[in-house]
Amino acid sequence: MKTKKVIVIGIDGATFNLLDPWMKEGSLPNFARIAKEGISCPLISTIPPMTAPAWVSFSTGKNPGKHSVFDFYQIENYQKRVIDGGAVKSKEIWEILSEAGKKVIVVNPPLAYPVKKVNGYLVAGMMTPSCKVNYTYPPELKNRLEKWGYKIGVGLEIGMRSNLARSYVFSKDRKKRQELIDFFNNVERKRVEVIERLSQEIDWNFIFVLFEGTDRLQHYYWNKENQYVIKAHYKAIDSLLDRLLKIGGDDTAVIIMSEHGFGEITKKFYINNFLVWQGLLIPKKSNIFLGWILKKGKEGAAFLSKLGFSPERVLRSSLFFRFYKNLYKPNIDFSKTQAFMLNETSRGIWINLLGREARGTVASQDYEKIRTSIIKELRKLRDPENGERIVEAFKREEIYQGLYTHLAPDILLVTRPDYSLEITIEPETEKLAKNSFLKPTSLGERNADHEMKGMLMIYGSDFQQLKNRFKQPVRIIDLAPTILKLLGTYTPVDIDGRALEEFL
Amino acid sequence: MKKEIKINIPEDLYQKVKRQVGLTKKFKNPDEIIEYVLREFIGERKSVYSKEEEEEIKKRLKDLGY
Repeated sequence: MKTKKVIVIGIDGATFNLLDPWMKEGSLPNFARIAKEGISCPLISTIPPMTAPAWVSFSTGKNPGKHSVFDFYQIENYQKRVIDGGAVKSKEIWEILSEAGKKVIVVNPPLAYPVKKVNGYLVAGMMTPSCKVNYTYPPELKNRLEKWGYKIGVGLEIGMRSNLARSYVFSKDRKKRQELIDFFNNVERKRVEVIERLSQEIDWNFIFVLFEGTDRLQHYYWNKENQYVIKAHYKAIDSLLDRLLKIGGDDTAVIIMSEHGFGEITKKFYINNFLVWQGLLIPKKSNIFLGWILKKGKEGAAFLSKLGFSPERVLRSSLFFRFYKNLYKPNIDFSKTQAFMLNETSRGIWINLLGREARGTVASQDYEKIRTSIIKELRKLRDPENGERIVEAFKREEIYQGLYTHLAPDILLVTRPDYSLEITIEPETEKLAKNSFLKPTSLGERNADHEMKGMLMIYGSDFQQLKNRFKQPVRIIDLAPTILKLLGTYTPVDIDGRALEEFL
Repeated sequence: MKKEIKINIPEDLYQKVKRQVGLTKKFKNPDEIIEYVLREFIGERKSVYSKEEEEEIKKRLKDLGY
């Protein structure tokens, strides 16, 4: 094996759905060259296909039942609590490599705060609380990063639902959109600059970098009219690829990957309304006035006008947005509820189990009966428009294996790729039931979401013989053991993935 | 003072856990190891975030649509 070094370039939510046509038309020459000269294939994410569990499954080579990260949040007493890096219960690839004496440079992995010691450099990414804390190893690296103008986590700087971002998202002004593109391009360029500098300082074996701007832009600019925004950012990433490739040499394998795919969403599935319909979830009364305005549509808008407010301005205001989110936050009477979902990102339903939950209502002898019944009813649901199944549901132990499986939600859902989950409870369950709890997505909302099928490209002298596009997908958990094998390091025995021997 | 209860475990297991006390500086006695393992198992985590930091991260995740 010639490979002595590995560079992993993570591109959040990158997908062949976009890459293929843009590579073909010549807009992404470096991606196209890597696809032509290396290996490419779909990469299957975790369930759920979300940043936190997926990246940790990449870095550990294990399923969430073993590393214990199922979501950004854990539920405690019906409240969402954000998790930190301490939730990762398995060694990550940069720790294993460090223990084996390999030198690593790790930039922007999610859930790496509080930072762990590595043999090299580590800069924590998403879920780092602020730039005030120590987010680097060694700690003194932080001062240098600040001098270089580095920013931690795009998501930490500009959430696409933040007030600042909203002024861009809803603006059709091309100049303003260019500012947004420039912002993301600059953040990612800084990451590469940091790697260029650090790679000069040590004889490195492994580099990891995560670019996140793709995910943020894809959520909002997916439709044809706006896709130029995403494309402009991919072009910038393409140039950065060239710079990263130059850091390596003939003995370097380059892995370009996304932790999940992406695709258009056309409909939202109201899971908690489904549970209301099943008699398993009892909602509390919500804000009646705003609920009425929304429910009445044109009539509600006319009423706002009468009060002297422009309905359009009200709907676009951040105050209303905040109000709206709170209005339809699942407002649940837990003392009467048997099953619920509290966060879309988990894609998980909890049974309100007596003895486990603070206000549990389901006795342990009824747990399995209720769980099986929910799964059965969910599987029966069909979209009235096309007759197709809306959602697949699984018991948690069907998806996860390991010591921490019992910490996962009781039921896991996988929606059709073009449908998303919605946890808000709409007032008219009966009306929604007639449409199988589906509603089309509306203007101004996220119009694309995560899919299971991400992308993978591998390029390097040990791979060039194959020069092929494989239709058969590989799993995200297979990459850690593949990298460990490439670098001649031991693989933990309890790892779930397998080294991709067929590519070597 | 925390209220405590007694749990019975097989003696051979206890002896093995006791041997681990000498091998790690993290725990003073077998009870601490057993308590640590059980807290891990039930997913009890002491967050490193302050209340303000946690709220800030929650806000950012919400801004991201998560």
